[in-house]
Amino acid sequence: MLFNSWQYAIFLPVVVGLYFCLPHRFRWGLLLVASYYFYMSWNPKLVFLILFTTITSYVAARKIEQAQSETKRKAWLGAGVGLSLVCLFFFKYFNFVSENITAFLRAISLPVGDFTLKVMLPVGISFYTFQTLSYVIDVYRGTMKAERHFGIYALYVSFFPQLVAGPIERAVTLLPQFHEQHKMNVADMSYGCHQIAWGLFKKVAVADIAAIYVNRVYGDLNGCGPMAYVIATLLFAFQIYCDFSGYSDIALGSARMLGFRLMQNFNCPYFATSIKEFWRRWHISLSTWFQDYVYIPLGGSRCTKARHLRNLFVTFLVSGLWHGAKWNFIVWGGLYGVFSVAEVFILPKLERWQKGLSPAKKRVTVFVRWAISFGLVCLCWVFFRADSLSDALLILRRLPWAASAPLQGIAVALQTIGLTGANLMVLLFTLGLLIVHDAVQRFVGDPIVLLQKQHGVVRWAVRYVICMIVLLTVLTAPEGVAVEFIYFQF
Amino acid sequence: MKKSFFIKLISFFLALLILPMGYFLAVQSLPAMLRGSLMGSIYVKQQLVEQTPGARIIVIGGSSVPYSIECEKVAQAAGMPCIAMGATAYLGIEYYLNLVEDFLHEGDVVVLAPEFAMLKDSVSYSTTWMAVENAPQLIKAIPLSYVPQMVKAYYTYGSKKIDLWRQKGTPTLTPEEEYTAAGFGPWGDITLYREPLLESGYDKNNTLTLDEESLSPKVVKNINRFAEKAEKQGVTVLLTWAPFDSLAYQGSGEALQEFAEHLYEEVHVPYVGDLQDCMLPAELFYDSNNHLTSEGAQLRTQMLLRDLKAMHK
Repeated sequence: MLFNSWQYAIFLPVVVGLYFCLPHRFRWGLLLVASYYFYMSWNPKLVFLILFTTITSYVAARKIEQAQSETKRKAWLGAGVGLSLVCLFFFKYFNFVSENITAFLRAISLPVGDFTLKVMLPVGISFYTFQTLSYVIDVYRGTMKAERHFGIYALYVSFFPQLVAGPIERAVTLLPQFHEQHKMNVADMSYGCHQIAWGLFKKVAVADIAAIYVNRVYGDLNGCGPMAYVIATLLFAFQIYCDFSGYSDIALGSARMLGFRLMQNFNCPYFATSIKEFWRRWHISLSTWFQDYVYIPLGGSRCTKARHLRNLFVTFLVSGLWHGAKWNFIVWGGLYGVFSVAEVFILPKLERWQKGLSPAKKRVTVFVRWAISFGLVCLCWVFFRADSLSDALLILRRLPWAASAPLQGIAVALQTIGLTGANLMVLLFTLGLLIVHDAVQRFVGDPIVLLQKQHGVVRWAVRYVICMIVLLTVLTAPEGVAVEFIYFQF
Repeated sequence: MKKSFFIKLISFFLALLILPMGYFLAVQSLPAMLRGSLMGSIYVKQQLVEQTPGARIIVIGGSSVPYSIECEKVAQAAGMPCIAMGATAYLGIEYYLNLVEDFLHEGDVVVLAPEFAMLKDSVSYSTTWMAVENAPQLIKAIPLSYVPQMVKAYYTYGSKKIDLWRQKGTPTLTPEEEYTAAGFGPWGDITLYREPLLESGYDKNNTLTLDEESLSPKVVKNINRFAEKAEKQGVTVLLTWAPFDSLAYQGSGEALQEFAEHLYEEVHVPYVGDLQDCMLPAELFYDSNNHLTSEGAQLRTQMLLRDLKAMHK
């Protein structure tokens, strides 16, 4: 069941309605049933896997708490973390590792046959595995107590708004909310509805439309010129942002309607003026997860410079691998690692130099920093989007040709990918709305709160325009356009 | 929450519907533009099924049915009329089954000859709109599961209809006249003489490979449900293959064999012939990988009659 489907449009109001009709003691049960139903709508068999991960992590955390000796605590920590990781490895990485070992053995002339398994990647496995890992580790560290109520713990792992693509919630913030009694709150309902509407706008009116043109170029690299690569990559930057942050907005909005507060996952990432800042604003729940459970345990920045740089690089490399079992993602993560390492040397000097500049010059340097950061992020997106590493390298090899006749190239490229006339105007309009929204969020304040303070006519007019754009985009989208969220594959 | 809030909310949603509803009404008010064409031929064929008395042979499938079955010959051999109930594969098998379900007679023989696209459940909802345009009896047969996608596909259909109306104006021929002009015979098959038109012998944009997803569980369920219900009414339901250009098949012989076994196992309907016979030589195909030439249709009809006879022995 997708967030942007009519099934969800029925499912959510029904769950919200029943939730507030039921007495508090039955609510967890309702949410658990709803969450499992939501998950099983993809593939009912997958329920066994999420149940296995839930049971093993629940037992491990309880045993860690009960263990008398440090050895036993460590053993249970190892068991809890290990079993979750084994599941993740088996379903997500086994074929990748097997294929690469086979290729290597063949390269050194050892005759080996194929050894891959016909396993499907369970939806959301990377997300809920990371939630269970953080829970077990937090219990081990003593940051929180183990949850005694199995049903509530199972709900923490499977809570439907954030089950399949995050935000990756920490048990320490989400679990207590399941014990709280939520009262139906008009402000939360209204805020949640606004978040959902805006999330749908991002997904339907920007991401899905941009995807049409991006797919045309990335699906036929030889049929398109270098300027088309530039345009498609820029569009992909917005596509993936709107696809994923749109999902997060709907997740946050759905949870908010039920009275739950999930963590903000995106905060205007494309306004970042450095790679470091970009990662503070992009997929925040994953970045902070890696920071707390990989980067800091490796030593973080409070160690020798060489180790600090290694820690940064390794963290980004693992983050790349988390996204997918493909060399593209490893290179993508590796590139961010390289950029981040470079920034360790460059940023302090740059910031010291900027302090001495006049406000006007400072603004220019901020703009240049933004342009460079955004350019580097787009460069990395090439690896993320390309179907294979060789495709990504082909794009990068041909990219400099785009500079030969840029204006003429843009016109030809837009013709080639069919982005002309009304289609171009509509896309530019929706992108414009998105940029204005993010600019308001970055420099003024929460756009939803600001909207709610406006006069009734303005409020309803803005709502009407956004909802109408979503509705018309859905109704006029070409048939067969993929509507799945990109991050579901991770 | 205040009553006025709910009134505002309902008014808001109604106001959102004004524009799409206006478009819908405007398009619906135009005359039917596609009746009598290959897609729109379903209008006449449905009437054939509804109005032909007695026991009939009804061959159901995609566009390959009118291009591969010679209805007169089948009727002569079987001693009862044969109706080629196929317009395009993209209406989906579920739609065709719904369409004939209420008009079956005792003694009817329903031969299902779904194309690979139908077995995979590849439905084009804008095509479905084109097929059912302005005909309440055709709209009534639309499965409930199509509705959300049909709503989404209305604009694609509407734009095409408006374009056609702008170019051609209101059609001067009746649907029946258009149907005859398009080369259809009285029983739904194409009677126009056809010779191979494909340059390379096959349509390169419509090649086929078979995998686990090539047989949709939904299609299997629908066929089994239909057969069970029809048999209770004294109708014989059979399954057979639809021709496919052998050059356009890009899978292996084993994959086809595996697929055939999977199909026989899942669909609880007697199979006429052998699925592996469906890959016919390229020179027998007219303008697509599913449409046979006159010579091809002659051969396919002979094969069907032979297989039906063998089955009855």
